Amino acid sequence: MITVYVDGRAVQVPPSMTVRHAILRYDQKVYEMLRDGICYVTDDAGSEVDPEGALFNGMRLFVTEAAN
Amino acid sequence: MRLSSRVLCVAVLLVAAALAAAGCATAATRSVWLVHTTDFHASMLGGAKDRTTNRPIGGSPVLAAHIERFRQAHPGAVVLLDGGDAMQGSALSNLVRGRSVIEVMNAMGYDAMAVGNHEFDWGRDTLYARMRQAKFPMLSANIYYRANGNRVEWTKPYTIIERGGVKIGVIGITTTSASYTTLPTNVADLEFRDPVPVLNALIPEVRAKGAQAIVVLAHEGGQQKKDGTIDGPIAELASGVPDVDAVFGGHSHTWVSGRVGTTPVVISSSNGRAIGTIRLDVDDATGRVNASEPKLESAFSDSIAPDEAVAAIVARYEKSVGPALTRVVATAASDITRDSPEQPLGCLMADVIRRAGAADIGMQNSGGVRAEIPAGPITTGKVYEVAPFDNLILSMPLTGAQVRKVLEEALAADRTMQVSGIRYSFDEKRPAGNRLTSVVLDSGAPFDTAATYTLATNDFIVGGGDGIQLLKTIEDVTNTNVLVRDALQDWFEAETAAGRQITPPAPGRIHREGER
Repeated sequence: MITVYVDGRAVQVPPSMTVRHAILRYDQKVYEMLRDGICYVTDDAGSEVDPEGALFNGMRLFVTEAAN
Repeated sequence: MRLSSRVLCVAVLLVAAALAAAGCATAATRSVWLVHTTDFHASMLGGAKDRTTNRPIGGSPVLAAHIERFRQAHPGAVVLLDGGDAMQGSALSNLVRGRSVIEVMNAMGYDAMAVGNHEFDWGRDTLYARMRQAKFPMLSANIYYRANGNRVEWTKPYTIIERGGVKIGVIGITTTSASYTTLPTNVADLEFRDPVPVLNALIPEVRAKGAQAIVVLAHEGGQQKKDGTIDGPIAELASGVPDVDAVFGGHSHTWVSGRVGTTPVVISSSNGRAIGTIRLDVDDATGRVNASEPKLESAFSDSIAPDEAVAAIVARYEKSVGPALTRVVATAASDITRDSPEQPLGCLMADVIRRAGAADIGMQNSGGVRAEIPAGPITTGKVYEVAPFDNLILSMPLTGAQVRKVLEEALAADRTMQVSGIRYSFDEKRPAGNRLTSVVLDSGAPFDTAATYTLATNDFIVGGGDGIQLLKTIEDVTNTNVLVRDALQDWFEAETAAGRQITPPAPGRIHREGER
């Protein structure tokens, strides 16, 4: 397992998983919002991170509500 | 006369300064622009939106136009590089096994590409075919055969590109996670070594062959913080290999442009959304290389006219691949429905998952079955409708007690897990956590709560979907890197090849107490 942080909360995921899996483990409702385009994932600097992106230990992700 | 000389000197200095500011070569330096994309994942069609600005972004014709504009601004001085994972990701490429993407990359004039983990998704023979098709080398220096410890012979570790009178050595690196982030059987004989010692050993050879600058083109990820610092595997790589002039990463689909120590590092997002650039100024007299501050530019589509030649290629593939979605892969002997609580189609998918994961038990969440299959021809488009999500098949060992717990957790969330290899009954009137009334093996053997079974299911369930908490704690998870959709289609085609029609599984796997 590796540890990534979603909105500051530690989430454990197998190393072969991607950003969307980390969001799913964080909160299924948020995952469904991500899938439906209601929110998106960013990095610490506010840049969007694709849900299919690879994870690495210590990665920090943030969930942001989409403008529309 | 003296005054005129001074004026002349000042004028020369001003011109030189202006040229330097514009990034042009002066008499003493030659400049090369490294232009980078990565993790394109076959995003050939436009239509995506940048969420932070709400502007349209990406698509091959738009990306090509941005790169061409850059080339026109810096004629003869651009080296175009891609960080890998270019081909897998959309029907337009998946259905022709990446051929469309490589054709577009050839047209765009790429100089080199790193081998990403997803380049192995369709098997090595397909990768070799795409390598033969590409007019640029696909590079990786850290792939070795497990059996004899030799570097693989089917990809070059590096290439030397001469541009604007400068020789640039470009070394490819594949993520060390490739052994478990593609179909494992496609890379079982390969070892993806730590890039740092590989690079440090290789760089003297590349320099000895005349490279004046060294660029690492890595399919390895990282992230940038608000304060500009970079962390993750790409930062470890950059800090461990001091004798390089620029490092490009990928794999994490992140936006990175900064420095690790003095080395410029760029990761150009993913899906054709961004173009990363680093300018290398090579001093003719000393050979010293100075790297500019790396930059990332968004490939917005509302600020540029799409490249017509690339648009024509994409349109041609759209026209040819479109009919592929209507290709008949099997025939359903009768309707295969999504009844409740037992879904014939859900149980069929659980069968497919179980088979693909070589498992004792298969599970598919009811909500992941998105369409029914009517009697008659089954097309590839129908397979996409049934399983539109890119869910992967994972497998893991579980005790019988843990299998029961997974079923209980689903029932507690008012879901019924579709199953293969077992049958179960439940009473929804009983308290959550105690609703199972029986679990038996399909084989007729007793279901043993102390025994260990292999469970195969999809990554949604393993990720905690539908309230399944237990699987989130399992560490020994094997990723088959096979999509549920692909496994389903493969099975349909295999049945057709065997002369069989598709029939719903026999009922009786899920029984709600009180019903006949």
